[in-house]
Amino acid sequence: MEESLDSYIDKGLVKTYLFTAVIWLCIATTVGFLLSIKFWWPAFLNNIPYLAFPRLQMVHVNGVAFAWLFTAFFGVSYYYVPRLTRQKLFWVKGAWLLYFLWNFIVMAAVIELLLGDNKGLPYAEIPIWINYIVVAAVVIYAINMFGTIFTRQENQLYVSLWYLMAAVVWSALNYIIGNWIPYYWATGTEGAMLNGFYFHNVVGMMVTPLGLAIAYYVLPVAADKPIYSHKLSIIGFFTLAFIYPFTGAHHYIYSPIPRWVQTIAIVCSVLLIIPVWVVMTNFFGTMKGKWTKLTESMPVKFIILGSVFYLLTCFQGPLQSLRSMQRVIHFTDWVVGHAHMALYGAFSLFIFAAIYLVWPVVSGKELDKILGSWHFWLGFVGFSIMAMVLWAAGLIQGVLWIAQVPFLNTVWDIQPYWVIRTFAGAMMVSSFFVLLYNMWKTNKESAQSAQAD
Amino acid sequence: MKRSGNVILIAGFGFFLLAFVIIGIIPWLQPKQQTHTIINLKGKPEPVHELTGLAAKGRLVYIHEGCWVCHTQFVRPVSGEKQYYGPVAEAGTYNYQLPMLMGKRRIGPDLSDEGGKHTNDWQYAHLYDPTSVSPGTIMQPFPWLFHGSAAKPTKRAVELVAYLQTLGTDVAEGTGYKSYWQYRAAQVSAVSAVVKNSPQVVKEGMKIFNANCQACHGIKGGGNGPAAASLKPKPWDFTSGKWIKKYGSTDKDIYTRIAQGVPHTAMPEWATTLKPNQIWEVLYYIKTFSQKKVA
Ligand code: HEC
Ligand code: HEC
Ligand code: HEM
Repeated sequence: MEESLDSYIDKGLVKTYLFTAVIWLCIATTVGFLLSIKFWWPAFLNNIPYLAFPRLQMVHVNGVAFAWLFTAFFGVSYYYVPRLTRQKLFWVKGAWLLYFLWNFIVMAAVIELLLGDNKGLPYAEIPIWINYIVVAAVVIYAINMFGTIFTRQENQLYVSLWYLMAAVVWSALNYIIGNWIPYYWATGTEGAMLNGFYFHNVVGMMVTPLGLAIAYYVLPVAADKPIYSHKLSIIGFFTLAFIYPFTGAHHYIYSPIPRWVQTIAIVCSVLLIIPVWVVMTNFFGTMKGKWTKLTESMPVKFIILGSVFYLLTCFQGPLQSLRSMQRVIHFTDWVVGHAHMALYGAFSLFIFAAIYLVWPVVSGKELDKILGSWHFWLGFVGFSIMAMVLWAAGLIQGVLWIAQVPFLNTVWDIQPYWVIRTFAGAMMVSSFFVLLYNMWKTNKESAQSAQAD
Repeated sequence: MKRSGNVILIAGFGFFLLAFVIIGIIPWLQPKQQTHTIINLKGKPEPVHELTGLAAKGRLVYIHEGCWVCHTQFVRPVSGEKQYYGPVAEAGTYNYQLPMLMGKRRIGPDLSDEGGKHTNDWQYAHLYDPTSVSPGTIMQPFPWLFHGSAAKPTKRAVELVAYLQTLGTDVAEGTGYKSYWQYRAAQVSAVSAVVKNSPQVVKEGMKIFNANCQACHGIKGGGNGPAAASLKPKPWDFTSGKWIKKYGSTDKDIYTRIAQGVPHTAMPEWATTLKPNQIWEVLYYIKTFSQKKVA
């Protein structure tokens, strides 16, 4: 049965997408690493306009979000969608077209941001002409996914596919709302409201469902056991769909946007605990009786660690949205620590799990276990240090601001933490290069042994 | 089974658009969200001006150079921000802005009320090389907005500074002052000797001095604190008992110096950080440095 399911997959396509995604990951986080140096050594690369602090910041953030996460989400979906629908991809040429289009978008965005062209909206920095192409790309992807799912041969519609379908719809709506309205029409506080709506939904309605789709697919396969409860999957999905879109305004608490909008955002942020715990109960339930896999299987290792971080992120999130917490941590490094826990700690780890599961199938050879351990531990330890120092730095600076300490003094006080962040970041970046090398090596060896046969 | 797919699509669209309408569209229709009026420093309603000319162009430079990545323009009513930065953000301030630049991260201080806080020359020097006026700063320098020196700004630098000088000036409209800072300086210097000299006051002043001033002025007031080495001019030496001539040497003159800072030097404006009584306390304390020498 395994063999026959594999035959639905276009291996070259998945391989190209994933390898490209990891290359982008290495580039985007190397930029993050250079950026982190500027925090404690401001003279570093500071007289070249194209490498100015804000420009590198935008390249890093957009790079990890759109070039790494989304390329990888596309790539992994070309693997699990055909398998779950027992159907070849509806439009393979479209998937290749998307590949070139998406990489063109990423490169154009990087060049534009380095030239200083940006819209001035957090997370929607990419210039408007590129946004049009992104929408075209999402449409191509949607045709491909809906085409495959609606002509499927498998009767059951597994929960991963729900998340995927919903995410495609949400992405399209959210992207259009967030990039056009606050840029052309919504002025002032209204713009802030829609910007908050958009940039929380990038994480909540685009990255989260696509990441959970992967986790829901990888975990049962890797643990070799069906998902714990179908009912919990349904509850998790609908509570997420209903609660998440209301939380956006929690990025502008204490701003002049109406207080009731802020209150809705806070209440819903706290309610978000429900979908998260439901999903996690489901994951940990699935692991029941299979915990030995944690030491044997790389995908399980990554999924479980990712789940733990997901749980922590979504425990921290509601806490952060409370007004009393906002007073201290808003505008500080704390939030940056939170962003890394969500996007690296949870969703990047889910993708890594998928890579360890998928790469052997598409390249024909298992990934090296020792290099895999290096990837896992360097990333885990590096990230843990980075998160701790960012939270500490955020709290310290927040408290010092309240104490009315002159601004620069508060900067000097947290600079030692920024130095540690750079070293922790270097560990993370090197873990990504280990993964890249591992993928490249496995693929090469597999090709060589195929030739030898 | 095709049905479940449709349910998901409908639920997906439905909930999302519902949220968009409730927290996106309905607030938009509230008149308060479209107002172009704010409450000025004297508590009176005052219309906000739409940016024009140089300042409007400067706003584009501000976006292009990514100043918004490090600076917010959003003062909250909590966490002592009003005291540190200035008046709390009001809806009217923003409603001509497209896109809005409230920002999300303070790697540098809030700039809502930057207008009138520093001179144009200070702003040029700061943009050209921030460390020249703020030693130890991590702000990105922008030499590419200049023709080789802070004295020769390009058109874009001129526009940018024109924009910075408009920030937060609307609240001063109708009060007789040009900016929040002018209003504040006037408030501060209007304070006469509210605090009388006494040993207790001097003791308080010592605490304030050791926390805020000794890094530059030295623990014994000799102008040779750890941060002094890189400064030009050097922090003032209080042990001589002399004061900078052009600023006068009465208590009130010295008070104004501390409150407003010394232009074109590292000496900060302490009125933004210290309360008037604290300034008096530290003033009486720094005067003791020269007395000790005499005694
Ligand atoms: C790397 C982040 C960073 C960037 C980018 C940046 N700044 Fe700053 N800025 C700072 C820091 C830190 C300070 C506080 C110390 C100082 O005065 O330099 C500051 C201070 C300032 C001040 C003085 C604030 C006060 O206390 O009165 C102004 C004005 C200013 N910046 C304007 C700008 C402008 C205009 C730009 C864009 C051209 C910009 N900044 C870009 C970090 C940044
Ligand atoms: C960042 C370094 C720095 C800090 C901190 C600092 N100063 Fe200064 N101060 C200076 C410099 C530089 C001068 C200017 C000397 C000159 O113009 O020759 C100065 C000048 C002064 C003067 C002017 C003397 C006169 O004759 O008018 C007074 C008064 C003064 N400082 C008091 C203080 C007090 C009080 C504090 C703490 C609340 C303080 N300073 C903190 C650097 C600093
Ligand atoms: C997959 C890995 C990573 C992801 C998904 C990621 C994601 C992000 C995101 C979303 C932000 C914006 C935060 C905000 O605006 O609140 C950010 C900022 C940043 N990241 Fe990363 N990042 C990753 C890895 C790294 C690494 C390895 C470093 C190296 C040190 C790094 C350094 C930074 C820095 C310096 C910032 C700017 C923080 C600030 O604005 O104060 N990141 N990153």
